[in-house]
Amino acid sequence: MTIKEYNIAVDTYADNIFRFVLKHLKDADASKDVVQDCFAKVWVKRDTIDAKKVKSYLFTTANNTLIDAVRKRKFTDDEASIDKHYSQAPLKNLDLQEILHNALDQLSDIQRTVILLRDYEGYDYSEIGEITNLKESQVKVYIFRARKKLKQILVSVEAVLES
Amino acid sequence: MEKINKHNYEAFYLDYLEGNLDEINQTMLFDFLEANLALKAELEDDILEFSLSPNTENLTTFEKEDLKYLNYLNDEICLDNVNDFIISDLENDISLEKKKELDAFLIEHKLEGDKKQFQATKLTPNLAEVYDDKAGLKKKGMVIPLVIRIVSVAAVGVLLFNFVGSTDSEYYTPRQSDFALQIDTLNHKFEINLADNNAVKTHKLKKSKIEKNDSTNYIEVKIDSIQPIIQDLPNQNNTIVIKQIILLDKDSSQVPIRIETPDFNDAIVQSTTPTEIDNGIKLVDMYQPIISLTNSYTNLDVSYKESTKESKYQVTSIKLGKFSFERKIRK
Repeated sequence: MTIKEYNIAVDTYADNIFRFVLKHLKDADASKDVVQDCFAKVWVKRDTIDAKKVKSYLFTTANNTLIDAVRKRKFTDDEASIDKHYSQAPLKNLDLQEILHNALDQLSDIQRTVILLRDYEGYDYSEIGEITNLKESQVKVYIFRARKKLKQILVSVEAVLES
Repeated sequence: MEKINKHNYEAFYLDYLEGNLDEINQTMLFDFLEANLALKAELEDDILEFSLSPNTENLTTFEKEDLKYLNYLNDEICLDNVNDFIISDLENDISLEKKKELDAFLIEHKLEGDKKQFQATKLTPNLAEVYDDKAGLKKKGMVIPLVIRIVSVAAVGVLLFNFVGSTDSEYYTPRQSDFALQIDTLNHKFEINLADNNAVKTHKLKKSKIEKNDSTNYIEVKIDSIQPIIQDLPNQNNTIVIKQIILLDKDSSQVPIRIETPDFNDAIVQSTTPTEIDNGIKLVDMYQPIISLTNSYTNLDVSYKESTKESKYQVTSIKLGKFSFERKIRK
């Protein structure tokens, strides 16, 4: 890919990668680091990357980086996440999308990944499978589970709001 | 038969969930998970949300739904599987015919609200969340492909070559600033200007320092580390033609320097013919320093050679790696 194509990729996908990573890490600075890392890898391998496939390459790289980052965090963040759970904003002040985005935290990492790639980026099952190294049927199952879980959460929140 | 390992055990387990795993493979799967308790725990925590058991009677409701989800599309829509069809509709996985059937079913059973709830699970990105340092990620300048890089290096080499070899007048030589010789043929007086550490030194030679070597027909003049070898042409009154000038460094190893004809025209032309000048000048490796410098910077093989053909042009062929160039100047 040329420098022009690389710079277009920065303009086009930096925000998408950032949002995707931010939904996992919940830390803007750490997410920016991942974005920088992804684009640095693209720059290094620019001679071998087809400009048409750079988005997929970026998300694959971001996902792999996330897996490592999340694994490291799991050992240290347990207590912090409990505190965070109890310090969430009151439900009445949240709109539907905010509730939904908060509900993402209750999905497993892989469910969150596939649902974000599906809803944010509009990837189909096979593309998500390529990015996450899963079978198409596995992707389907994870999306299926994620939808049901998100619906359960929405229903329960609505019940709380109505009561 | 494919063996179960840590790279494919999830696929085996999904096949098991889908009811597509035969008894032998089921046994293998559970043996594998019992032998890899960490992976089993990971499945339990992250994927399955229930305890693994080879007995399908222990499957939770959630898992049964998974099993159904993967096989439901050919089923009749009923209250048990309607959520699966709603999700499939949301994911554009069902046919138009099935979609119409689903919509009719939802109206009939007053389940439109469920459809809306599933539709509400569609996430939309918050466009206010942006990466604010895109400029820092961007690259400036041109990405130069390898071929162009090599050509550029070659071009620089040629420029350098031509710069050193360029001429304001026809009688300028590349080494003139480093080394110039004026010969007073009548008085046997030599004046050599040397560039030593960028400072020009003038050495005036006394006649007594000129030694003639009859056997080689050379006159040797020694000045510090410089040893010009000057041929004394016989049968030419008061005529001296420069044959070769060799620079010697302190340990006396030879560093040849090329001297071009025009340098000495002023001194010689009065008493020699152009032919004699041409024949008398021996040219040696004047570009050696440039070649070494270019070679050390580019790590490419650098060489040059001059055409020996009779021509009004002096043609120098320069080879830089795989590329070759020609420098042509009028004599």
